[in-house]
Amino acid sequence: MYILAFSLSLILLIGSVPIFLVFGLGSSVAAIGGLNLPWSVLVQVSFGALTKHVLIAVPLFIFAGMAMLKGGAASRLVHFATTLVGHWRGGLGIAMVISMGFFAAFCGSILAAITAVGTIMMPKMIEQGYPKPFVVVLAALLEYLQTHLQNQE
Amino acid sequence: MSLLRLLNRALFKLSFAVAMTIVTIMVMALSLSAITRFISGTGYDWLIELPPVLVCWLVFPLLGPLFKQGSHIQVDFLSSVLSRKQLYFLKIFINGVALLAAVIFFKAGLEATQLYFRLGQLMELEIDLPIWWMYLSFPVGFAIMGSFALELLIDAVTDRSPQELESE
Repeated sequence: MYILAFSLSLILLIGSVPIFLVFGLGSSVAAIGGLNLPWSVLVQVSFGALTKHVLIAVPLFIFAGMAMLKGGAASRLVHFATTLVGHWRGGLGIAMVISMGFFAAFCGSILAAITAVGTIMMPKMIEQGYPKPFVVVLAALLEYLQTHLQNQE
Repeated sequence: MSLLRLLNRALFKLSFAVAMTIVTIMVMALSLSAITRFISGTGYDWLIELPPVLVCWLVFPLLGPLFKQGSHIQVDFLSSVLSRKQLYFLKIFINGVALLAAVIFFKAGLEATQLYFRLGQLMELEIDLPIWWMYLSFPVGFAIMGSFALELLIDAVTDRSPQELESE
């Protein structure tokens, strides 16, 4: 049964099915078929995971990021970083790293920083001729900045 | 079909309106909690306990609209290697799986809700809310998702492009 659950998950994953359904169906097959658990337990477990207080912080961090974006703090930061290093070779990329670092330190979440600063910087970089995959990968790699932040999620 | 599309359009708007309201309430509750704690030194428990209770009503009803938008995380490298005809079958497969999963989880959620309704349990919070009220979001969310998956499945079978649907 576990092999079936694993194979099913793998097929669904490769078949471009949304991840939440891959995990949901795979784990349900293992739990119902393998462990003979009732459905109510599965539903209960999913609610237990959802109603954790720590999870509430995620939308609030993103809210803080959006508030800074709409308030103009993000564009000022981008302007500051671009003025500082924008004239260097690859300067816009470095400016994006710096702005996201500052932004993340202010609002406490690199995810919020990627969302807010990325909204401004990424189209700008693509417009300037940076390859799209490079811009996306650079922004995604900045997730590692989270390890340097004191105020972690 | 047009009735289903009309229903889904209404559900789409309703789900997002509910989600935005819940996010507003969550942010306001937590901000008020911080303010009252700062001013008086004591916070109200229910202001802190309200957001986790509301999260399930934020997450589950949004499953369907986000599925229709294609905003769920998925590994979609197949779309770049398959031919148009193969993509047609892939779309049917994805939407078929989503519809099947929605039906299974709807049934499971309904069973769980009925169980907690019969038990009559209340949440272990300062607010005396019946626990089934929270569990009800599960079948409701998957019913909405089923409706969207059905629409997308029919569109995939009839192979109608988004442009064609827009011009309708």
